[in-house]
Amino acid sequence: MSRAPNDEHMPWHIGAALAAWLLPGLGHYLIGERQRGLIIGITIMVLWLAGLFIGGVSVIDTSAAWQWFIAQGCMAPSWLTNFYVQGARGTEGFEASFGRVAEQGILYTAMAGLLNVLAIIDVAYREPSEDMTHHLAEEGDAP
Amino acid sequence: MIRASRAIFTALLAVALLAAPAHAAGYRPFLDPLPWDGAWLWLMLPLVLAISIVYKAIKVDNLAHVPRQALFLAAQIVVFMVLAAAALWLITEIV
Repeated sequence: MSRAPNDEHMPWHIGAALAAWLLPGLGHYLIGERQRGLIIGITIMVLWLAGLFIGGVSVIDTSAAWQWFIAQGCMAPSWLTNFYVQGARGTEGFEASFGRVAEQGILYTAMAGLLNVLAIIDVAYREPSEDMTHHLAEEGDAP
Repeated sequence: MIRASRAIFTALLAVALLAAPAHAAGYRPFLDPLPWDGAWLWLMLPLVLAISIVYKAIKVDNLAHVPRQALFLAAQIVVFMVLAAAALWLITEIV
């Protein structure tokens, strides 16, 4: 990981960290690490979508297994899915999953959330890319 | 690099979509679970690969090294898990 020579004077990228929670990879994209952001974002989103594809949306359900939601909720799309599941409960909006596919779906979505925690921590402390540093310096010099 | 990453996951997604029982009456992708109870162990492989890619994308400074290092890390994880499973199986057989 890239670190500034003097970490004590490194500002936290709170906005970028929040953006990374809203959409995985967006935080890195915003601080100028565009390629890294795309790789992280695409990978985490595909993993998360694969979990929903395997187990259905019912793998994200706070009323059935709130403990897993601690990990799943580390990315905002899981919250939207949970709202949908809670609203559609008892209707034919989705079919509940059981057994191995439910386990795998939960595991995929929870791992996606935990990987996003790594990405959030990284983007909060990461030194902006050279391009972005140069751009910010130019903005600072401007009258 | 991004092209390679996209290609890997497009391929994984394509395999998943082709393997889906699209012919099954009433099946709704993402709303209904797949009947993949028998294939659960193989689902470990894309999971390990995704973990490796994200970890290395965060850890490595030069992104050109990510594909090779991520594949190596994924292989290490799989080998270690197989060895751990074999050791546990041996223990259950002996005890």
